[in-house]
Amino acid sequence: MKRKQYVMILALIMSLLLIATGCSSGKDAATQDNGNGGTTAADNSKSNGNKTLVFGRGADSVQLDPSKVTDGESMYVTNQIYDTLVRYKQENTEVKPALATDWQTSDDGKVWTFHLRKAVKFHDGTDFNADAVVYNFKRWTKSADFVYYGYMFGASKDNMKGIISDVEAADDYTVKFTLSEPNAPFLQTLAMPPFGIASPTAIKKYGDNYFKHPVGTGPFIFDSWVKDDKITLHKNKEYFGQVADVDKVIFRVIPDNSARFMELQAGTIDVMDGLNPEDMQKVTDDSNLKIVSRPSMNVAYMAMNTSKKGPMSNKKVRQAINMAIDKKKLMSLYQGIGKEAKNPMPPSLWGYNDDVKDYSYNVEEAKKLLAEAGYGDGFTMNLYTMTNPRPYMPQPKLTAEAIQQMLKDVNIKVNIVENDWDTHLAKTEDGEHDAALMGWTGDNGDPDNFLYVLLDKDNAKKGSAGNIAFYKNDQVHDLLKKGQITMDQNDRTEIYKQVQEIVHNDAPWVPIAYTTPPMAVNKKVMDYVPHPTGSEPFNYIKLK
Amino acid sequence: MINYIIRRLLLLIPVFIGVSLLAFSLLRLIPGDPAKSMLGNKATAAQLQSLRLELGLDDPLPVQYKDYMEDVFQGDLGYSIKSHDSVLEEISTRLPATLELSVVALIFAIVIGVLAGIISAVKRNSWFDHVSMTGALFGVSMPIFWLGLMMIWLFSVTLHWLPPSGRLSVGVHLQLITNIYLLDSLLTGNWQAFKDSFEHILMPALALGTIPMAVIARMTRSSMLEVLNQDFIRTAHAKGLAKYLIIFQHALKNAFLPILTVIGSQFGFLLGGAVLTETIFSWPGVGRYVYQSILSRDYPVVQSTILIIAVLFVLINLITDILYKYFDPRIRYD
Amino acid sequence: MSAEVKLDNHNAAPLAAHPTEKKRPIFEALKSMISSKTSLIGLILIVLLILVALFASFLAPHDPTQGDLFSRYKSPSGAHWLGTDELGRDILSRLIYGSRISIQVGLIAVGIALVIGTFLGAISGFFGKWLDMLVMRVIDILMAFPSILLAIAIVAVMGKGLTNTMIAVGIVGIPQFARIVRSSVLSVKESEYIEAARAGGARQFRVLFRHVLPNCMAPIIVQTTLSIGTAILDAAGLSFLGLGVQPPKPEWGAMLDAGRAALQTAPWVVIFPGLAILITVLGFNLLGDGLRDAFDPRTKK
Repeated sequence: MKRKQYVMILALIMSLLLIATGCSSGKDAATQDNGNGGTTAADNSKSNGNKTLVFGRGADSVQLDPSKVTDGESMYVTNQIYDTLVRYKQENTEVKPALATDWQTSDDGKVWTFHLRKAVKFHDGTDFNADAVVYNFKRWTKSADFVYYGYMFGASKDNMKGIISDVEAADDYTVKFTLSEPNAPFLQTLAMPPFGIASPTAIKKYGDNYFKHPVGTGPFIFDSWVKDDKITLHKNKEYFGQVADVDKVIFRVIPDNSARFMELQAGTIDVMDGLNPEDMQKVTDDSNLKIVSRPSMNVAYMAMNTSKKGPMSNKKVRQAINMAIDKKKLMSLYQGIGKEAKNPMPPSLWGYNDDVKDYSYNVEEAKKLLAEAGYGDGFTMNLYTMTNPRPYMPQPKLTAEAIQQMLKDVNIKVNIVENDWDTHLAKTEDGEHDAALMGWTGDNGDPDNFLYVLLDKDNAKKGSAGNIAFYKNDQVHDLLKKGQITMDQNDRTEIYKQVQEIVHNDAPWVPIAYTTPPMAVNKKVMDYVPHPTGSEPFNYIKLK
Repeated sequence: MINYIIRRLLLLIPVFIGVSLLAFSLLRLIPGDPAKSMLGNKATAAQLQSLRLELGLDDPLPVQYKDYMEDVFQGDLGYSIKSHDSVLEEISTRLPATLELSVVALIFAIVIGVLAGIISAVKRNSWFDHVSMTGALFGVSMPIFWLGLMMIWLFSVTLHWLPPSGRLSVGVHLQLITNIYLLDSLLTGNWQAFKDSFEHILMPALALGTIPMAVIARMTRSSMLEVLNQDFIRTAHAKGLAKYLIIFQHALKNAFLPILTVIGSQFGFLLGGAVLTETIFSWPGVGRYVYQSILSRDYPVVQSTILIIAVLFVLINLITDILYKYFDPRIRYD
Repeated sequence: MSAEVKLDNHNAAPLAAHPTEKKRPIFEALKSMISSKTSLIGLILIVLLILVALFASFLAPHDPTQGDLFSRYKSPSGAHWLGTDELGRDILSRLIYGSRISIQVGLIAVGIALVIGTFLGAISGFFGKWLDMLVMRVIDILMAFPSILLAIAIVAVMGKGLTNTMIAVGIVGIPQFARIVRSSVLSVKESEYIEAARAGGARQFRVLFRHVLPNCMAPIIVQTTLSIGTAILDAAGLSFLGLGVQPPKPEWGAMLDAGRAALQTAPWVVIFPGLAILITVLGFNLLGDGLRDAFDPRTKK
């Protein structure tokens, strides 16, 4: 080694130390000046304005083609890029015109005619028309990838179209749907973000890579995507609806809830999803921040596997467990964002049965019931839970541990089995569990989307169960089936109220909570109205 | 020398076969259905079945392995089940992040570790020696995930000096060339981005570098002590050479080899420690990615990523071994 | 995270190289070790830890698994010296009971690595030839993975939990032992004394286990002590990632993970378990250093 090399090393050491010291004296880590400071932009932003909204979230989108994915993080972004035929109103799940301006139903409820908005263009400049709508629906029935289609329209491998037996263009701006049977929630369902209409030209152009180059008609246009880091959109100045106030939207991935919150405090992000309940107070104390709550359209519950031999198949045991769990205490884990639940659907939905009287917390009564059932000495059960926080259950691990402590008082020993979300779903759908923590966020604001999906015997098939209590009650089944083909809402309300009464009595669940998931928002963000279904378009937001 | 390198390279073949076999089979044993994790809870049984067919998940394992290895040799590392993107592409954006973090951590470790070691050896039993060696002792015993959290608590939450996560602030623009931000900002002469990305890397790199730093400091000190006691150094002293010259020209030269081995072995630690550090600091690197992919059973990703990490690790070890041979006059290349 | 251990490979071979020229009784080594201040501190720390674990039920002021949901995240006070955690449980009591888990993990994981690694290293070094080749390739493969990553993969396959964590951390530690024992055996087996025993017709395995291995004890003991610290660190890391010990067991790494959400509002939930890990690992490292110096004739003053 030559002397020169040592000199080099020394120089390197010195310069690094200098940088290190120079750096620690810096004040604010993150500066938010846009465009003018940096030399070149990595993203090819086409807008000249500088109002940027940075949305912080826990995970990246999977694909930006809503017909290929089910995750909420993908939907959040696609909801900005695409429009559906009809959209939900800003604050509830009533539908309003979007790509379709008006519509009619035939008397038997089987034929739907939609008149489309004229002079709408996709972001790539091509025309939106009836052919585009037909193209999208045809594309959706060509592969089994579109999970939501199968699940909302009853499609399967043998019947890829499901209940939509035909879609045709009556003229350039009129589309006709023919259904094989009447479907009460049909219109509501079409407003779901997964059914966003994409540009046929772009789909053909990009082929398998389309999901990285999404093209819709929505209020924002896709710019760029850096995996696991950020997705950038800019506003669609020609949008047919309300043109956005913000010029640019960046979705930033910061997996850790606490780290994301610190970024919000530092002002480097403007809105955050998935706030730790522990940090709620910090938000309230911070003069720059505020909490915006998403209206409740969910339920968190503990499902008991009624198909398993042993205690869980015994109605008295299930009722006893309902009495042995102190929901008031559990609510302290929700830090004010949760309300004790008593029914399998939330009170914000029509058809909610408020006359049901919840089991009250009573250890002695629970013990008596257990003794009657022959389990006075208690038993051991497993309780499956997920590691990841969910909007309806911000602290699943702690909830499980708290239930474990409570059931110890009635001599039930609980073993907690913890899995990441995907595994948890797979295992509970296979019916491995005695009991499992679970929850549901409504897709389309229809009671059928809760009760039928979560408690009908049709959905209690091992391997793909939505009904992970494996609760099978023929009376409930008949009622729910009737509810699907009845078009009158008052009649349907009566049906669903009855179902809730029966379910309460059979106690396949311990309903735990309805939540209003909190988002923490910088006060400069105005008119942010979270939507109950879990994502909202950003064109109504104003930035100060 | 050439022969030695060739022999070492040949020895790598069984290692690669073993590593690929291990990575491949380990993951097939994980319970759970990858098709389900891809389609989510709203998929029907038929949808799941058709996906399994598409991915070849129902083929016998040897067939799956054969297919996989054939693809690898054609440069195809497979497609992520989760994102549908090619694994090569997924890794190519994340590996630079991990390499940047590891290299900066190693630079911190070497610079601070070697300096502290030298000064401690030269000023043996001084207060500096005691303090730095006590620090080094704590350093080798450090749960780095805890250290990382404590740093965040102190420097981000309490003092607001440093950003708690990520690689670059949102408002800062940077032309990407290598995906190594510090390098890219230097190449483009973008000082704002350089400062910003340096502030982002400072805490994670220090946390990750703590254990290697401590190991290197202790190693440097003890090798330096041995060398400083040897005759030729005393002679040099007697000849009246300037003290820093003696230390750097003679002593460090002789202490260099053992330090080199430590540095080589620590790089593997850095790649592993990246899983924890990247998790805590939300660093979008390959460590966190492979951990998450294991949890979600994204087979193609885990297989190929582990393979790449192992190959990288083995190559780095090989390079340090070769350097060792090259610099050590006592070893002949047979 | 087998960082500091690798350093010892460097020293292990030389100190095993002169086993017969000066047989150093273990007692003497222990004596010189205790006379060193740092290793004495290590010994005291470990003895304290063991005492805490043994008398956990007397020392802990509260039940470590039962808490009150209405007194979550209470800051340190007279009633709860180190505060309460996310379920209102007493952190001090959980730390005290957690020492049991840490000791258990350390001992059993290292036990696994010690037994398998020593056996592999011994037969590999002693019999040489194809067996050596085979064993060393297997070791090479294991060492091609960063240890924590390999441990994660193993746990992912076998499932979470205390037992599997110990097994995973144990497997990850095997190569260290195998390599150290192999190099010691290699140098010991050339000594005249062993050559004589082999020439005298003693059975191979008998020679290996009766005569060769006992002469390699020094590096094995040092490696064992240092490995316990590393094993505790690795296991805590796994638990921190949610893969190790499961609730409601009061494992230190898992406590840290659970406390993360409240880093801003209740830092004590994170600070104390980390300190506990640090001090425990420090104890084993101090003791290991002391043992190495005591066994190594070169560092004798």
